[in-house]
Amino acid sequence: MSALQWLEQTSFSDWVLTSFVGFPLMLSLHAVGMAISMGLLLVLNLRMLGLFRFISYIFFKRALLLAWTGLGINFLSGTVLFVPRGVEYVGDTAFQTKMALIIFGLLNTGWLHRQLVRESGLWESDLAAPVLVRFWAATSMVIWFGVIASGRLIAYVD
Amino acid sequence: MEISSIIPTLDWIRSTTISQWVNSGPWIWPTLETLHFTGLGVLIGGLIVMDLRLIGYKRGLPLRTVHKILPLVFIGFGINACTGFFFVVGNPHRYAVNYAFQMKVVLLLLAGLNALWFRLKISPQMKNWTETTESPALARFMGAASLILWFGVGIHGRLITFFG
Repeated sequence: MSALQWLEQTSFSDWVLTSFVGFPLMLSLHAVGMAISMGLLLVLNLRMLGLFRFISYIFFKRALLLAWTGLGINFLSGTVLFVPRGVEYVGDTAFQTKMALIIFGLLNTGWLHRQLVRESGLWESDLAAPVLVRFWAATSMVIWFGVIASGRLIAYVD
Repeated sequence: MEISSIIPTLDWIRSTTISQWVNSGPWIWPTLETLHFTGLGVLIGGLIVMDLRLIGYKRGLPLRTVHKILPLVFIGFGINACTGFFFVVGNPHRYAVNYAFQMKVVLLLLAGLNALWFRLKISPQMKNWTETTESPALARFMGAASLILWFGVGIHGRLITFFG
């Protein structure tokens, strides 16, 4: 018996599937974490591309901690949602796509965060961030949109 | 109101061209849902910036100009108003009796009233504000109410699945 099958047979798994605070609460938290992290990263990406110049990068240094908190909420709620359905999910194309995109998204966001902390003082008065930062900011929006889309499709593709 | 009295109306909505289009292909509903989730992120992202400043979070956010984030909020709201309209028209019988959807509509109305109240009561004063102005207690309250109500809207939207 594989580890994923064993997880599905635990009483924790039963609780997730049958309790009202299991699936509904975790899905709600997953939407909340998504809105916080995706929303703030979108505003940051647009700022780097030259929009919303009235917001200082000083704000984003703090706001990114909130965005990471949102991603943390989604890691935890996502893990709980995964436990009862692990066997099905690992074979699901939409789920696999989502996981791959999340890895790219985390690397991308980590790099942008590092640039923000180290360099953003230099860009503050510029129209937009340096071209490489802009490129990865634009890519970030595409990747995270892909995460949302593939996540939604997990409910449909089998 | 008896549910049976609105069934002819629901049947009529379901018979419209728009409703039939929403149900005409397997990709339409999931695409609309993806856009609806994306719109939620866009809306909440803008609102967090605006409302944090109103609540009193100052670092890097200018009080006088922070409202320039509102177009982003309206874009998010617009995406979700359109896609949400398609959901309701596409499956009217489901939404009419769905408790989570009813709660969502109530929270949406409260969030709208909160925004209207802000527009009437706070916006006119904003031209006199400077960067050192503390946002008034009422504005702080409205900022907090806005975030709580909109997260409530998102959560109740997600819960629609569990009420039929």
